[in-house]
Amino acid sequence: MEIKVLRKILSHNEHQAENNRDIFHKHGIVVINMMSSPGAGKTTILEGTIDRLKAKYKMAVIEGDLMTSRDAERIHNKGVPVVQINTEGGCHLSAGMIYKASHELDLENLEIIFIENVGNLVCPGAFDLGENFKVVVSSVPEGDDKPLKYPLMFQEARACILNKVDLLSHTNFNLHNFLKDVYSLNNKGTVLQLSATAGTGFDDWCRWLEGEYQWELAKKHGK
Amino acid sequence: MENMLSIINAQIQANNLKTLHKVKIVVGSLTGIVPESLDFCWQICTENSNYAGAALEIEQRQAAALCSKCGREYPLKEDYSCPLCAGGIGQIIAGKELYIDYLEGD
Repeated sequence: MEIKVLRKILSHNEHQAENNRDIFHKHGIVVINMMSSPGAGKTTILEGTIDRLKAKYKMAVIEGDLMTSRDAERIHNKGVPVVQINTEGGCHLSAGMIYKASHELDLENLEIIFIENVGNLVCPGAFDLGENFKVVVSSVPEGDDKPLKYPLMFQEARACILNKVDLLSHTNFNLHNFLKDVYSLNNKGTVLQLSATAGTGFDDWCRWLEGEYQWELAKKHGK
Repeated sequence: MENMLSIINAQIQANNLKTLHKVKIVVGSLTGIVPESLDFCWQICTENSNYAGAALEIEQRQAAALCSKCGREYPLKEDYSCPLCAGGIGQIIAGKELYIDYLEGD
């Protein structure tokens, strides 16, 4: 006997993500899911972003790592609330983990939550966490072929940050090919060039982020 | 795999099945799922269960998009630009599938 099922395997995660989205939406919080391979610079970018925007917005960070609380400690030192999730080998965060972590934050007193996903360019792209939008970080030393090798991640992100651009002249990274590939995957996305350690490009990134924050709030209020 | 087994269990109970012969799933090429790895997990997870011996059939779906410039449908392979006009992806219409199609059992 054949029984038609037609059920999405990740439907449980999708329901939880919608539930998270409702909770964040009700609190007027804009949630950003930051994804990249390990070592691309997500934490350093968040540190620089917090330095520049924490006087203006009430922010928190949910940190996803396989092991250790090193990134969470770095964020904590910046003076914003942070919740560490250790996936203990799991290669991505799931909506259920975000739901649990959100209980450790004072949602009444937040405007922006950054989720720093586990460093991995494959699985995090497939798991909706209930975020408003995704940002993918790629970095120059990884090479210019990442968009074509990991298309889903770049296709789903509203912005792509190219980090470590201060190293461009020391590598064979082809910026033209990188930009062409990102835009062929996602012609509505924005590419922002940045060097988190040199401190360049943060103005454009923060301006873009504030614009998206205002846009998400305007959507919530139906304007 | 945990989600998959949970859906299968619910279906077996709802339909009062005693034996499971086969599970057919559909996997899009953009999901990053490696069929051989999925099949390996299936063998491990089912070997000492009531489903031992049940086959897992994996249908792979090639990704496809509508071009953002000319609007035509084209397959997404190594190059993600439209082969006709070199435009980019306007909308992905296939390749993100990940669902259980059907079960076979008695």
